[in-house]
Amino acid sequence: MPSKNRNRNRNRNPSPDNAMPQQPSGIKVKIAEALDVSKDIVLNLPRIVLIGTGELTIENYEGILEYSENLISIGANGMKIKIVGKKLEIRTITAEMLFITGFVQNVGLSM
Amino acid sequence: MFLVKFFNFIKGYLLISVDGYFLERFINICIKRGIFIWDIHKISNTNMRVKMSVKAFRQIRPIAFRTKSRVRIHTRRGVPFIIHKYRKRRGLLIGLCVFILMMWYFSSFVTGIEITGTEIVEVEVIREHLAEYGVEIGRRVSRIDEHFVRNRMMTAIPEISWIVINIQGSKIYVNVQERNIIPERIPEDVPCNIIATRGGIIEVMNIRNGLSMVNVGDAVNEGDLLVSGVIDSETAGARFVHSFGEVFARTWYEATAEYELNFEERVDTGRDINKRSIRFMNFQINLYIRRRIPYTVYERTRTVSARQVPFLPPLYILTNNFREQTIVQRTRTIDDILILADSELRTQLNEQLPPDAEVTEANMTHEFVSPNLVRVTMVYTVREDIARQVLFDVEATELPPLRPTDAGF
Repeated sequence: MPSKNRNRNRNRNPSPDNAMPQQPSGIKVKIAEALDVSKDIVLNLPRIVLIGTGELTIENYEGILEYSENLISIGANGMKIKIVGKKLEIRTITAEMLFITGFVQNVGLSM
Repeated sequence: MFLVKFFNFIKGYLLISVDGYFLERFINICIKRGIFIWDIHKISNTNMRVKMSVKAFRQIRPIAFRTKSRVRIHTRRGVPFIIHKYRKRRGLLIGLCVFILMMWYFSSFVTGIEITGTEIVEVEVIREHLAEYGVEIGRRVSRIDEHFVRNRMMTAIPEISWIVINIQGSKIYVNVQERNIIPERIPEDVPCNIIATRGGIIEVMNIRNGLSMVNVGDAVNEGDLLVSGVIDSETAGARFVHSFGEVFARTWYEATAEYELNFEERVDTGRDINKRSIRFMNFQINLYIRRRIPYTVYERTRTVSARQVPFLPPLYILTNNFREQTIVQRTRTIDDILILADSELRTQLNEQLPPDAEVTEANMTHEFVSPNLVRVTMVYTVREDIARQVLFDVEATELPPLRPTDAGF
């Protein structure tokens, strides 16, 4: 789905294909699919849970890249999660989990 | 979430203000090192406030150095800091101890007794008996032996079939189960007589068993033997029987009242005053200053209302209402009196009548006792069943000697 963000990215460094971002592949994916276990655990992928517009929980993140009232950027396994909103605040933060409250307007993902 | 906040409050925490350009890095390092921080609030680009425990704060200095940020304590929150603040105030500590001791001491006394389940027995009677066995306002709760009180109460008041005494803190709940008093029924195989419950003239007799001692038309007095349980017949011989049946008789009920032609009536003037008092446990506080009642002729009404506050004995509000009255001289005719007497005497008589009685006639007569005083009499003629079974002493009753016909056996 086209978004401002991606258009901007393409302008900056034009890439030949506008296909979907690369999905993780390999033996781990196949095992996870065969055994029917959730991939966030096996592949160490982030799990993002958004409840309404007020509460956001991210598991399996790596670190905070940017933090302000209106924008929080989080790095997770090579991905960048960008949360745009108002009065955002990190309520709880542990090594595995991040809990954000406030008014979330947009959650954007980029590789 | 609340629980976590409460736990943190008990343990105590610090609100830290962090100044620097690499605040995200500061957070990341904290997490990597296992320093738990929460409620990260960004105030400006270079300033944020985070909450952390006192232990975490001691480990934060190297991180602050690495991220080139300045850390200082904004506020100390939680129970340990509150205690620390008041540590030098001995009086407060003593006061707290005294308060707890007083709470403990006063809660060891009975502050209220609540009695439920009474219908026949007066609550006051139960209260008096309870007081006799040590259950009273102001007594120590620990001295009350529930089993002892229960057993004694059940023997002391025969109307009680069961009593439960529950002690809840300083309040005692007493639940009373009353015995149903059923009129004694004589079993059908026990010999008995029938006597008259009331004097009258017998109209109808339906005797199903037993020997009739009276006939229709006879006048009987209260307690007279109507049907005997001793039968002596030629075929079966003399024996005791369980007599039963109905004996309808004409009986009379009378009510009398005196009325004055010229009489005094007390009429409210519309002015009244209330004098209120508050009673709590055994203390009474009057909410008025002047004791004197400003009226010469007055009527007093007392009302008591209880305010129930949880965990405390009831608070009683006593209200004495004094209504000023004037005495008015009134005159009425004999007709007025008769109308009044008719309704008054009828209600009075209806209360006396047994439930199955049937009023066949009502007669009202009046006579002048003095020129001003009339005596009115109302007589009810009633048809009612006057039969009542009574036991007789079988052992002491001698059967008549056998008849010659029976002797042939």
